[in-house]
Amino acid sequence: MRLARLLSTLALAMMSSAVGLPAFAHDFWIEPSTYRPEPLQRVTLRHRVGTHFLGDPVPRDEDLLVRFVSLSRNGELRVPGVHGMDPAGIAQAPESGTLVVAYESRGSVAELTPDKMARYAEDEGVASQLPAGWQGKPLLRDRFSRSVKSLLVVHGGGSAGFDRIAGLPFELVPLADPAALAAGGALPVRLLWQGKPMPGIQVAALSRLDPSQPLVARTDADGRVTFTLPRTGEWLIKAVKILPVTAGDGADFASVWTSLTFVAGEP
Amino acid sequence: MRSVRLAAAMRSARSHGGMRRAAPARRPIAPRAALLFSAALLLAGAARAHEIGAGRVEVFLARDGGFRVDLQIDPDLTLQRLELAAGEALTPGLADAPLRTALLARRDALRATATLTSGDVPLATSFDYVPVPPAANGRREVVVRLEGRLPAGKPDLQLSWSLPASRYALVVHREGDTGDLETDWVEPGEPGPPLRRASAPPSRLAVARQYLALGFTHILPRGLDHVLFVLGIFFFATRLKPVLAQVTAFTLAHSITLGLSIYGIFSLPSSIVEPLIALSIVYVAVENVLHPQLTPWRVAVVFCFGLLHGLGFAGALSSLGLPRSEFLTALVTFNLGVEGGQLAVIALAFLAVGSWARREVWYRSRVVVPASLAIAAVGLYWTVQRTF
Repeated sequence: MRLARLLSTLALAMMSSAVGLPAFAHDFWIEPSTYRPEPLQRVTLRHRVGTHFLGDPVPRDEDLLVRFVSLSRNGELRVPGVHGMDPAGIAQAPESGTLVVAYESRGSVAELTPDKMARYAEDEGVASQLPAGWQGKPLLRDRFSRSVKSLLVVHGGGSAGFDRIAGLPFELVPLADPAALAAGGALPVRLLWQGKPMPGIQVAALSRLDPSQPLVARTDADGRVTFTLPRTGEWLIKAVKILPVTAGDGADFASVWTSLTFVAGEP
Repeated sequence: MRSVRLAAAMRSARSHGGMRRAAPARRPIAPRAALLFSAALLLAGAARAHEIGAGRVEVFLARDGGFRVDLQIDPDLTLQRLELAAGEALTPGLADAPLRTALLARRDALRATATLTSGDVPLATSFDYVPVPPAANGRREVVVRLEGRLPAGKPDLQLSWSLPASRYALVVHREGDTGDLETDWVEPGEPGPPLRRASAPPSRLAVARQYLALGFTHILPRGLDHVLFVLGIFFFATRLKPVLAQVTAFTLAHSITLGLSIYGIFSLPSSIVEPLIALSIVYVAVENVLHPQLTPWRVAVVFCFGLLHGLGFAGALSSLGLPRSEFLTALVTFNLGVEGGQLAVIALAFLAVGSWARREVWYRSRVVVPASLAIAAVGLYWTVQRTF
């Protein structure tokens, strides 16, 4: 009886872990109702949290929100929305060009056991950034924040402004027009920290159609990384930066999660 | 386990599990659909591990040990997560029927995302796929319904659900519970709080005791307006007969309207009943001063006022709730408790004043008149307060 119980528990645990995916180091991104709006079309914007580009909808949280804006040739506009509601906001496309939607959150604290922390460090490539001696702590507190954006290109109106810098603390900026890419095309991206190129950070690119095979690279001295995208369609590029915290901050370290969502090709 | 428990109406916030501290008050939100989300934020505090998602589980616990767990899922997202876990190519945007077929083909994997245990014992359940009308925001939703029964002697149900990527709401309904709905916020993949099974229905004797006490305490000490009305009756006369005649009329009347109102046959809004109850206090007290003779008119007036007080008792009893299994028992014993409270008021007044002073010549001028005027003043104040 005990053996049967143990086996069934183990089986359930294995199946759960297979489907549940890691319960830590979750990505966060913006998912618009369309990446190719018509001129002046209203677009709903969803916040998503998850792994492998498969995310749960996250309602708008005004108390976490630092900045949620859309930027276009018309300037910067606050993204309106209702606290607690999904979609998190609505933006209006400009007459032409690229609409950049950017979201920045305050920090929230996550508690991680050392084994979860080790997997987090490996998955996100941040082991070298973590504070010394983290392996010896029974529980690590990570003050994580979001710094994400999405590119929407107005249908038939060119994609000028795809490289607009939103001024997020941690930001991915495409250096080539994603809308102009063909399958197999190269997309150079620059990673900025406080507006300056950030070297030595792992960056991953995931395709909506095959998120289990991320492209992974590390930024060079100029904060650049180039991905050869095997297919067009929806992509998520993401990176994590670890930051030290001051004593009394209530965390062992801080992390900033950036992401960029866009559709490659299909101008 | 890291979860946060709260009353759905946010009236009695209770922390649970790993919640480290309550967050500062957060801004209110207008849409009702977002109430739970806001409540979660209220209590989740800074120690939350992930953003709070839109995931939701409803658990129904029956008294006989039966349970139903409704996992509310996004079918497209769920299918893709299951496909990813199985190493299959992802299928985007299926129509409802093929989506259902695809998910049912993976029912074992889907079922395995939810682990239901009682103690350490895994529980077997049925599996049902229940489509739900699309949400207002256009999101497709499906309920995966798991039904089973707790083993005898096992009091708790515990759920661990690994499908979501963000903290989800666990809403608990217990058969027979009339209090606040219980909601927990649970981290995906972590065990939720042990959910106590619905308790057995109370016995008739237990209900009788409970509602007898509730009826008594509704008068003493909680029902000061009823106490003043009864004192108004007490100060009307020094002899027992007039007091008994009024108390009997009052009791008969409020029993009638209490029953009629509880059974939904007749009722009046409290905005009308409460000021009239206050006015009834003024009337009996003023009449004590102006016309202290027992007439059929006085008994009839007390009877009419009793009808009003009965509607007030019904309002109080409705807010307490009546057990379905012992509805009549609760109604009758509550009424008896009210009678007991009234008789206790009269007995206390008799012991305090009447027993030694009622035959004194100054009793009326120094006790009855000042006391009645004071009662009338309070009643008048309540009349104004309850009217405006």
